[in-house]
Amino acid sequence: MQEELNLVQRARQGDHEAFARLYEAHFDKIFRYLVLKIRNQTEAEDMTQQVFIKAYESIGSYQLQGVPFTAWLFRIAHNQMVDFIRKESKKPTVPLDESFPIKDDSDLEGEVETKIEMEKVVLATKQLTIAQREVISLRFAGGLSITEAAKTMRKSEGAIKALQHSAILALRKTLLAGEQGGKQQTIQ
Amino acid sequence: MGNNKQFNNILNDCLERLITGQETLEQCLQRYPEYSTELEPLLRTAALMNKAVDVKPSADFRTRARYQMQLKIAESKAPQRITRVVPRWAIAVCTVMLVFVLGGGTVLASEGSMPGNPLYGVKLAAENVQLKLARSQEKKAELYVAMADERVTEMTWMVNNNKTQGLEAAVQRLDSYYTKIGTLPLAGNTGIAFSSASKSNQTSAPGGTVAATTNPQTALLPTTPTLSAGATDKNAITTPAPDTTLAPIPTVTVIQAPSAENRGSNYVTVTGIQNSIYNNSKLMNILIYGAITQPDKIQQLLDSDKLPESIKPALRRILAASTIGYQNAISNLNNAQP
Repeated sequence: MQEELNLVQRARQGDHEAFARLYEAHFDKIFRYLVLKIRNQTEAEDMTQQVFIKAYESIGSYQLQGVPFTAWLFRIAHNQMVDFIRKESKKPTVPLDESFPIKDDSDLEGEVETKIEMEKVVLATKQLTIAQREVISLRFAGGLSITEAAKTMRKSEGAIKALQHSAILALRKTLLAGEQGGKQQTIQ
Repeated sequence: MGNNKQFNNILNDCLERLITGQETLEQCLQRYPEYSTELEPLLRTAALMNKAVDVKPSADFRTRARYQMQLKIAESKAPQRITRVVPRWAIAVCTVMLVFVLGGGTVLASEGSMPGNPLYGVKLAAENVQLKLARSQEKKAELYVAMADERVTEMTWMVNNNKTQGLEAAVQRLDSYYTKIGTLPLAGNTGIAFSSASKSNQTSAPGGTVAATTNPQTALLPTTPTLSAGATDKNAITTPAPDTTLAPIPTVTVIQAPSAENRGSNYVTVTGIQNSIYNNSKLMNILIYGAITQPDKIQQLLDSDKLPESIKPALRRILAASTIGYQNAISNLNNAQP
């Protein structure tokens, strides 16, 4: 944590190496968060770049005494995503099959399984409330700690834990309902 | 309520261990046997979620994103015009010298002059004096980049104003600048060195996968497979084709850094234009700026309807020369010993 604080301090003073270290540390997390949120790889890629460009432009005004850097970065990502959804709300949704990335190192069979699993899980997250979905995205895709997620969402840690619990419970129910529906269809 | 809070804490504790890979699901359940019935289905769902979102950006996207971030940084550190690049004392000396030769005020008046203007010769002479006064090869390189920029600007002005008689001379000057840029013996280590202490004390990352990517020893070295450490047969690669929305950038050969053994075990050196984002070198930024903007401007000139056909072959050669000149300069700077 202290290491990150030092990097942020240096980046604020124009140290590009420090910013590069922050970039490397958070790049994958921001990308995963955005992929899960908008379910479109191309858009998530563009947006990830925009998040870091925005962060680079704004790092001078970032307040060290305010929210943690990670929370600040995810707020930028969240705002970018909200803007995107607002603009794109009238356009048709890209089918998941064409949008979700596949891990580079997986074999074909694994890819298909991953894709199916991902599709089920991501579709299940659509049944969650906005707050539950945000917690799941920040915790699992973004890899944020409870404290960081709380700062990002401007909620207490207790509230985040409760949301996390209810979200996983709701996901479980949705996934189970989906499985049972599938079995019934097979039997019929 | 109290029980709910307690269970939320236990669930979170298990999730933290599960997500970061510290414990398996079974180990978590053993940790809290009294809650295992309630915990198990939730943890299984969480594990599924964790697996589903474990996607990584493609190597291509990662490289492209780095490249664009680097462009952003290079743009923000664009070199100033030649009159500002040169130290004030050098301008003063230059001015005093030329005052004796040409009379006071002439040099300053010549700064904005274009080919064909009577003061244009003074402008070129002033630039040459600045070159003579440069105390290092690096400073000379900076000046050559600025002078090349000035010549390209002048050529654009000439073409746009149908004053093409000076184009050939400008092309010849540009050719010599790019040759100089590519052959100057540049010194100084522009790679980034990380102490072993900083390697072992990394930014905390809750996710196991993420933690792996935050290690600068791997993360700051090029992550594309062709640049992986030890890939001796792939020491030289080329930068990816830039996005069509970007200004063209010349192909740049990236030379792998000296091995850790040669440089000492405490250091990892990052080389290449793709990783110049990581160095603080003013000269590197200036070279990147030149490499990005000048070929683009030359290409725009080539695309211009006003450009005489007779000059096009020479200008195409200059386009190639600019690419080679910057490519060599960047490689020279990267390969320079500390």
